[in-house]
Amino acid sequence: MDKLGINLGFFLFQLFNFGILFFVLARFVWPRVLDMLDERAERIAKGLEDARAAQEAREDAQRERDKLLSQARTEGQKYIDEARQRGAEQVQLMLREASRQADEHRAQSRIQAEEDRNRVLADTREQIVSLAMAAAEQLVGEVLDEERQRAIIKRFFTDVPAAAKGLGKRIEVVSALPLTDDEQAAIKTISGTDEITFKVNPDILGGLILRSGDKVVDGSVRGDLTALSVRIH
Amino acid sequence: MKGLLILLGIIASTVIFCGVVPFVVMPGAGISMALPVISVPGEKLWEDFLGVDGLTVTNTLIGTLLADVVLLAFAIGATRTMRDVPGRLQGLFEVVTDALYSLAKSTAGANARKIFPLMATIFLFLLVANWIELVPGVDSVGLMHCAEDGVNGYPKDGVTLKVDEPLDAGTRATEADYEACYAKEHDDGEHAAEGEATAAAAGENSGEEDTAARDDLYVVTSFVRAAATDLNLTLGLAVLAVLAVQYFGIRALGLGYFAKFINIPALDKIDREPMGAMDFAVGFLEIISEISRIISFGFRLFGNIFAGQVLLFVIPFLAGALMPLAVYGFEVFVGVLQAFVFSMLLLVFATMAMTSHSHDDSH
Amino acid sequence: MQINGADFISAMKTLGAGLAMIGVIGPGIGIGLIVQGALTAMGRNPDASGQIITNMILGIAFAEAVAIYALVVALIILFVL
Repeated sequence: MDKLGINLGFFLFQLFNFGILFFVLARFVWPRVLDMLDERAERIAKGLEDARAAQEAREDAQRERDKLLSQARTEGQKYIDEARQRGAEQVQLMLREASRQADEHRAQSRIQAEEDRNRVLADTREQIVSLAMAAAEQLVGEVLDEERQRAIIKRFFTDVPAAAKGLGKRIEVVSALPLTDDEQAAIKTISGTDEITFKVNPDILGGLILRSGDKVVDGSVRGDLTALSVRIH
Repeated sequence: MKGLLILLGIIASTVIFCGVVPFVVMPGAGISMALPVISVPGEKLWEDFLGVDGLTVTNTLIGTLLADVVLLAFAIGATRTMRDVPGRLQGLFEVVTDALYSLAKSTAGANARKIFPLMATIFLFLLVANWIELVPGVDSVGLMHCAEDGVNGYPKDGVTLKVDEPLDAGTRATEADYEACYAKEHDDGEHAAEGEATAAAAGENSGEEDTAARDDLYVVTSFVRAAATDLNLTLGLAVLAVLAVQYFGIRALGLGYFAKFINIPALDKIDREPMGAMDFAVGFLEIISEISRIISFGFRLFGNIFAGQVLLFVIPFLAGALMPLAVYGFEVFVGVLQAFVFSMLLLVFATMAMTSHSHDDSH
Repeated sequence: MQINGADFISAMKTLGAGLAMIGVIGPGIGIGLIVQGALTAMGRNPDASGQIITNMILGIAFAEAVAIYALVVALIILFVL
């Protein structure tokens, strides 16, 4: 053994030496190093785990967002469709309503227009009639001189209306001109009564008006004109 | 471009320092190289060191202490102030320990933290110790000592050896030569008398030889030699490793650990499983296996590193131009590999010891 | 050149050590086979290379142990006997 250099003293020295080395390192170096390595490994693992979790969370959020987005899109589409449909209906409705209203308006305005026209026409007619009447009165007034007056009265006497006979006891006679005695007498004979009041009113233009109580026999020009105008109306 | 320059630099320096200098320049200056001494035991540097009787210091011992110092300085320097953002030293230390630790975790699992300190200490210590061999000056700078029996020695010339020509083989020293030289060197009556007596005895034994013992045969004993070239260290570590494996096993399994060696559970149920007798016999093989592990641990490390050392000695004399470069690179690798193999085997054996065997046998 | 007994013995020791080292042939072949198998396995399953390398080193260590016995014998022949 000695030739191989194996020697108890050296052997023990080497054991002792390594023992001290191991003791020093195991006491002062390895715990710290191992703690640090473990801690670092843990931290790295945790970091990886965190990163994975974050990744997952992000993917979840992404998925959620996509879902919401697509949901919102479908919903929006639905709303749009609905709105479009409703709009179309509305439009249809409005169109119908409008056309109905328009028809109504049209009809109404037609009626109105008719009425207006009628009123206008009536007014116009009235005015025309009044104008015509006025013109006629004026014309008649101018035309009816004394002679013609007398002629009209004479014609009244010649062609006495049946109503004039037996009119009543008290008769009021209105004439445009003061009646002559002959004429007064004629009236007396026609009516058969003496209590006759004679009044003069140029407004009647010509002829005679016999009035007894509420009975009237109108033989005046004005009466004719009025009858004319009524007939025109 | 830079790589090419570095390559050329490497080639030039190997050619110059391994070829031109030893074989051209040195002989020109009247200096020659002595052949290196290849010795299995650590060579004695100082006997009775510092006056303490019996305290012998060998160069492998110096190598061990140097490795201790370097490793402690490295480990403590790297971890004295642990920072989250490591500096260079701490970063290097962390890379190494982290790799070892992840290896331990992948092999031993939950037990990694128990085994790791011993494993990592052995790895780093052996790594430093093996690489010390590669530092220039180690294995080559030293003191002159008397050539021992069977070693080729050279006469002394002042502070250098007197080597006449390149590859001068020197003169083979006998035990008588060593004793004479030793007596002259120490000038010590007691030793001298002893030496003469031995010389006389040697002379008597080999009568036909020239009995005149030479007292001027010297060799250089280097100050530092790789620690793992000393069997004391390698066997010491091997014994420690095997004992540690037993310790881990007992701590993990209690007394049940010994069932691996003396398989009483197998004898218990031998009526049901007659093959259990085989298990019992195998248990004794396990004992032999544990012991042989000491041998294989120790001699593997020693053999590899010692062979590397011899290779580094011999190759420059065989092919001085570029081969030393390759051998150097190879020795760097072997240094790591042997440290790794040692710690790895410790890890694996410890893991095997800490896992119960009854589960494996039950299927 | 005369050969005396001591020289003869030392020559024989050297020879014996050399012969003892023949024993490393087997482990050499064995280690080659182990590495071959490990490399094939790693080629097939690169993910498991860590575990394979661990077991490969273990196997190499066992095979190498035999070579180490040869080395021990050689060393004993050279230096101890």
